[in-house]
Amino acid sequence: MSETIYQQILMEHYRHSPHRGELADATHQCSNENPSCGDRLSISLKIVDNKIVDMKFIGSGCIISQASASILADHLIGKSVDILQTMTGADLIALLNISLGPNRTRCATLPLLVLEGLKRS
Amino acid sequence: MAFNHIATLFPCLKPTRTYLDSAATAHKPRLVLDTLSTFYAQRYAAVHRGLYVEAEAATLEFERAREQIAQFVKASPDEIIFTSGTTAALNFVADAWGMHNVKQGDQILVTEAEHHSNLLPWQRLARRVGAELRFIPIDPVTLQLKFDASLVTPLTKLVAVTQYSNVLGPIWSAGVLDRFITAAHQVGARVLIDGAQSVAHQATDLSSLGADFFAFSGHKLGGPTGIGVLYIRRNAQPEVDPYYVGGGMVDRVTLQDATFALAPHRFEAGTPPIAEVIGIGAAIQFFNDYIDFDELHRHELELSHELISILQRQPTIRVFSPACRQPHLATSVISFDTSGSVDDGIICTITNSHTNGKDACNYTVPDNGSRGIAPGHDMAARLGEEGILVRVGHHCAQPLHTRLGIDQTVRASLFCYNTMDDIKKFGEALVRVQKFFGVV
Repeated sequence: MSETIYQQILMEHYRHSPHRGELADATHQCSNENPSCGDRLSISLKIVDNKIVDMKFIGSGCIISQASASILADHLIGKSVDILQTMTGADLIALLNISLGPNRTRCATLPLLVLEGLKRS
Repeated sequence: MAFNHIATLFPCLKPTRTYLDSAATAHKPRLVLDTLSTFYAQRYAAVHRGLYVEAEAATLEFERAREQIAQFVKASPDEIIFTSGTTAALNFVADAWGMHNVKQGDQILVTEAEHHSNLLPWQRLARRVGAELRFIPIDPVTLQLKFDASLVTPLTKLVAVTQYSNVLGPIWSAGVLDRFITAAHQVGARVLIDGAQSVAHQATDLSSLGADFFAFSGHKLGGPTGIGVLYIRRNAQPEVDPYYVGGGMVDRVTLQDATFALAPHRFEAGTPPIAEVIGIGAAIQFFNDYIDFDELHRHELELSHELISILQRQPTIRVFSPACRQPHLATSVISFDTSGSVDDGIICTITNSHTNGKDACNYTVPDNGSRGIAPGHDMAARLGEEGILVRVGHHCAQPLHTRLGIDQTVRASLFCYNTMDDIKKFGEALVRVQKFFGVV
């Protein structure tokens, strides 16, 4: 099999993410998409005392964008919301731990784009 | 003609990389590369001005390229204008012709299947002058454009259409384009044809096509990047403003005024892209020497048929090609959707549709369940990892994809150097990729 960005861990996040779904008791919610390729994500968060207690996502689109949302959720749950101020696209891509070219960057950073539109529900 | 031999004439093609993205850009035959490098290394000089031997020779070589191009499309050399590409040519027509000839209340007719480069200039022109932009609709089932006389009215000033879709290939039903051209001329409208995807696959005859403007690119013909051709019919030229003014296009210049040269130089201000013009001339020389368009048509028919058959054997893949319903049609572009959204229930994708009134963006987001699907971008990426080079996305035709009800397509495209072996490799890799993503 040729070398691939579709590593086992990534595929697990895509196929069996524990963070897929909607939070019944979400405090924050937002959605966004990459219009050029049709990746869509809707993220719900539960933030209590400035801490991201839980995060879920629903969406459709490419494996990279969906797996990235799952990996981001892993990273954010249990952390202070302050992390959202400092986290960059490059940080998220680093978390994916795959060799991503420039033409896939927008797929990987879609979850952060979604979180930029955060508003209190 | 042995099409298997053609690939050996293209140095950048590698046996381990099956190149199926020529609709984006074509590889270069050695003839073009050698012509470019020997021109720069041995014959380089300015054109049109110097009186020494080298400058005269370069001028002759430059204008001979123009003549070759003119002959290739059956036009006159003074109707062949050099631009930086098809997009530049289309924008040029919108600004240099459109702004002076299309007025408030006039109509511009395009199709729903246009590349953004033959849509956005007309959107902008219509906005600027207060004209109405109208569309020849594409049938989402037959993927064909039909004739509708009511679309051409006395208010129509321009019909601007592609000759060949970069997503769907042959979209004009037989005779329909000719009928639109005739109808346009009957109401005194000009006709522009975007030939970017057609010139390398079929004989172009501008002496009988009826186009007033015709645009194409060098790089899609196997020529260098950064060069395109805009044909302006002689009787349309008086309607076109020179637009780029300066050195190279003048006759007499005083401090306050200038008169301009005749076409084609009238429309080519500044030092031209000398090497690029000679390069596109060499690309056309290559076609003249090696490619018979009838044989190429038969070759593409064979290859595209096999490619479509391979795709149709995969129940989760939908092929978007007029050739599916019209098997006599050859096509050099084959676009397909791999998201698995088929109506026959073999694969279900969108299972939930979530709406939430509290959503700040007021958004409906489907949940694809993430089981056994190869989304387009991942199909294309994984095919690339397997050495099969295709394109994915909307291919600069978002309205077309919206009309077809899909986000994106994967596109395989053919050129004279592709062989049945390429199609076989594509088929084998496709099966491997479908298995890899758990689709089959």
